[in-house]
Amino acid sequence: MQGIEIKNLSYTYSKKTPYEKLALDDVSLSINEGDFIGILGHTGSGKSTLILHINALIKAQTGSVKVMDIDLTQKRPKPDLKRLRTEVGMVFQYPEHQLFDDTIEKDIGFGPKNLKLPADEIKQRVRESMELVGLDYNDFKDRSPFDLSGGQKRRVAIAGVIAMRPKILILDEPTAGLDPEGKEHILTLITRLKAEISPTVIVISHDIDEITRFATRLIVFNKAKIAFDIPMTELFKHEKELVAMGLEVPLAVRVARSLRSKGIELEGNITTPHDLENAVVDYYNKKHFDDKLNSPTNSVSITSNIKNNASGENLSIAYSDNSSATPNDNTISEKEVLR
Amino acid sequence: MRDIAFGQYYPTGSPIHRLDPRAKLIFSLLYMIFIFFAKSYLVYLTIFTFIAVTTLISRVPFRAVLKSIKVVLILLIFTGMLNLFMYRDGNVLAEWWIFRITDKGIDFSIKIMLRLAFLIIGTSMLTFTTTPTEMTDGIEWLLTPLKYIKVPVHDIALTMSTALRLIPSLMEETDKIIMAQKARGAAFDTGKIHERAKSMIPILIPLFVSALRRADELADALDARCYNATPHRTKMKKLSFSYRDAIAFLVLAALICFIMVDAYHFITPDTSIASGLDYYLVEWIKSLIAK
Amino acid sequence: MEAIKLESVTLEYKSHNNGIVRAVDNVSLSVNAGEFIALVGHNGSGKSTLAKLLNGLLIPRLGDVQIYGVSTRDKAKIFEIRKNIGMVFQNPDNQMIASIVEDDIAFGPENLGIEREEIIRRVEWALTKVNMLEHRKSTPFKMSGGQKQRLAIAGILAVKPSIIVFDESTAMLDPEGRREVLAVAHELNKNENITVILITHYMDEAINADRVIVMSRGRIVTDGTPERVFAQKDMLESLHLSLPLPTSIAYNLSKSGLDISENILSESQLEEALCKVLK
Repeated sequence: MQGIEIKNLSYTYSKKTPYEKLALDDVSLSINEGDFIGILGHTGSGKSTLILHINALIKAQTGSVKVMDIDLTQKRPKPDLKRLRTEVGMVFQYPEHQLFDDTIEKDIGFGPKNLKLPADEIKQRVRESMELVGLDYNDFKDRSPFDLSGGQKRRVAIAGVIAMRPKILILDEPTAGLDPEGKEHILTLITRLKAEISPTVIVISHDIDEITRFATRLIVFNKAKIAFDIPMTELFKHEKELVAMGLEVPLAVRVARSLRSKGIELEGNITTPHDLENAVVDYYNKKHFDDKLNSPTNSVSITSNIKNNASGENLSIAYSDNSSATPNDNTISEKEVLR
Repeated sequence: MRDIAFGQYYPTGSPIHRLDPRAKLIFSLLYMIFIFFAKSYLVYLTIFTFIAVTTLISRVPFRAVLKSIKVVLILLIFTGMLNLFMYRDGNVLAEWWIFRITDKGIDFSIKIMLRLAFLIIGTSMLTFTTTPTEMTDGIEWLLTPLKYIKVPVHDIALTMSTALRLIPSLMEETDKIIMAQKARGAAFDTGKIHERAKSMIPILIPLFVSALRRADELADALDARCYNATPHRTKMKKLSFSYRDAIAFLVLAALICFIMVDAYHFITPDTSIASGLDYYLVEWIKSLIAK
Repeated sequence: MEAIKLESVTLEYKSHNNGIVRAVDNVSLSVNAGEFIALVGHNGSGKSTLAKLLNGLLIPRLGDVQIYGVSTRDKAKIFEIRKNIGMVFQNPDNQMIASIVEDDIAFGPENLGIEREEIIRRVEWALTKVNMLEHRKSTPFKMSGGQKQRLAIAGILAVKPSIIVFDESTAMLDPEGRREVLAVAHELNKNENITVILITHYMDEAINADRVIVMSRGRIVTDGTPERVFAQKDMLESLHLSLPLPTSIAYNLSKSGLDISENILSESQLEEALCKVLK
């Protein structure tokens, strides 16, 4: 097995004190290799506790956790935590707060060094990781990580995790507190890491509009339980539940629903702004096509085919924030058609 | 994230919690001083009962109280051992190189360990039942006389309470940093001593950086809220003594009297290791057996 | 009335390689009492430095900052300024001074030497304003980010400022917390007539402001109504700033040839425009 198998997991913080809190309540979940998962939920809904279990950073109280072929809950022989931590990479919230070494090269090399890799292998990995996160090796390697901007620090911290070459990468609120440009960098980076380093990626985020841009599977936590676990394309079916839990509904889903309620029947599963734009363009074209059916001069059949976004593949990010980078190769042709 | 640790407020709203913080501070001071006069085991037993009853009333779980001893357990054992092996007086029971165990030494080291344990439990009861703000107000009140010789009493008190308030945040931060470094394969519990010390660096530096950042932001926040705007600072909460404080004082006074009477009223012969009331108790039991 | 006035303000600091960075570069600005201003720009654009110049945490090297006519250079009047202009910072954990809610709110008025009864009144009023009165005896340690940040606002309110600066106060919050804080900011602006300067990365937080000011490299790049500012798409793009999501959708659609208004900022405007086009 290459994925993660969690069965009947429960966890309570500060047991038997006035601060006692049930964080996970009988949660079962299986994650497959290649999954690109977004986890959504309020602060304290249990999502962070769950991912700490996957890296054995907290011990399961009841239930079982199995990561690849490592059974974390088995007593004897003890699970190989060292191997687990090379297989599972964990980027915590505000990971730049864990930087400590005096040069960027040494800080990123911390993980591989703990694995007791040979020096040239460490160097090689540091270099590769830096290039991946977009920091030039020669320019940055000897600089202090504390002199960088917030976004750069975070990229160094992420490089420190991917230098372990994890098969499973977990990121907790990877864009929190960054400005739009910093966010774009990180989001692009995550898709790239999924393609090149870690086939399985799990991202925790508060920002549903952000999650819908890349994840293909959505897990929503509410009050220590999994509220639902769905392919991202089915998100629109759960709008009411999200609202009831006080969670954000993607803007595109809200707008599409509202338009449909007014008799504008947009087609397809609309989750992202991109889906919405496509559906609107389709609808518009169809309407005009119908109008012009009688006119023999316009016989072009129009279908918008920029739908690969929803599947999360072939994604160029920088969407809502940077319209020049919108993957609208078809925009021009459509424009012409529309004219 | 973490269980209740030493020195943290434990809210239950018990009568002990509702005592005036100044009273609690004074009581704790008295308790700390007079505990060192305790002589006989009967008195130790009484103090133990006193603590146990206080804990019961405060509704702070015994587990939490015991945990506060755990923190200083090593110090406790070390002090006990030192006294056990180094005490010169009394009948020698065993001797090796510079070490000597005597009957009086055993007696003395047991008592010193008990005293220390009682001391720790007493002070942790204070922090379990008093919020940092109350503590600040109490300390400020106690230090009031120093204001007249230009000691910045409020600054001192504020520094202390801020430090206390930041403890939980910093603990949480420590946990997070440890987890993050563990996730990068760091091992903190294996290897030789110097390796272990070195392995602390990836925790200590981020923690230090974070503490500095917090201090910096806190300073801005203090300024933004007009800290030091006037020397005539006012207080929202007036402290007031109540009948509860009087009752608590009477109980403590009784305990202190008992300790002092035991220590100075009952003169015991040098030849006996039993002291104070214990001597008379032992003599009485002896006479009973003789009959 | 003019609440804030900046006259050719410049402030520099040293960068890591001993170069000199102009954090704020010859900025002039005037804010009227009662305005709601959104100050946007990416990290390092100088917006947070500007905030600290406003209440005298920083003093400009050149130029002058005046709050209700009082210069921040006037050391004797610095507390008059700080009483007038409150600041809510980014990290709610680092703004709490006391460990019980009401004690923390009382800290500001206590510093000003205000009478006891008045302090109690202010604490109650401030907590009511941020909707946290029922928590007055609790400890903030286990509260949500949004709740903590609302307490920080109450702590500032108790000083009774006429201006409040929110220095990226929503950056560390989840969407719910952001909404809560933003709602409080607007409420205070509307009902208490407090001048608000909202410093933020999130463009959708700026759409309901009276004025949007965009900063880049220490300078004010543009200053105007949200409609006017967000119409300058190319400029925002060149500064790596995002558009509010509805605006960006409308923009893309209009690029695809749909006849859709350029001045769309909010979700409801987008819906309306789409209805019009598609009906």
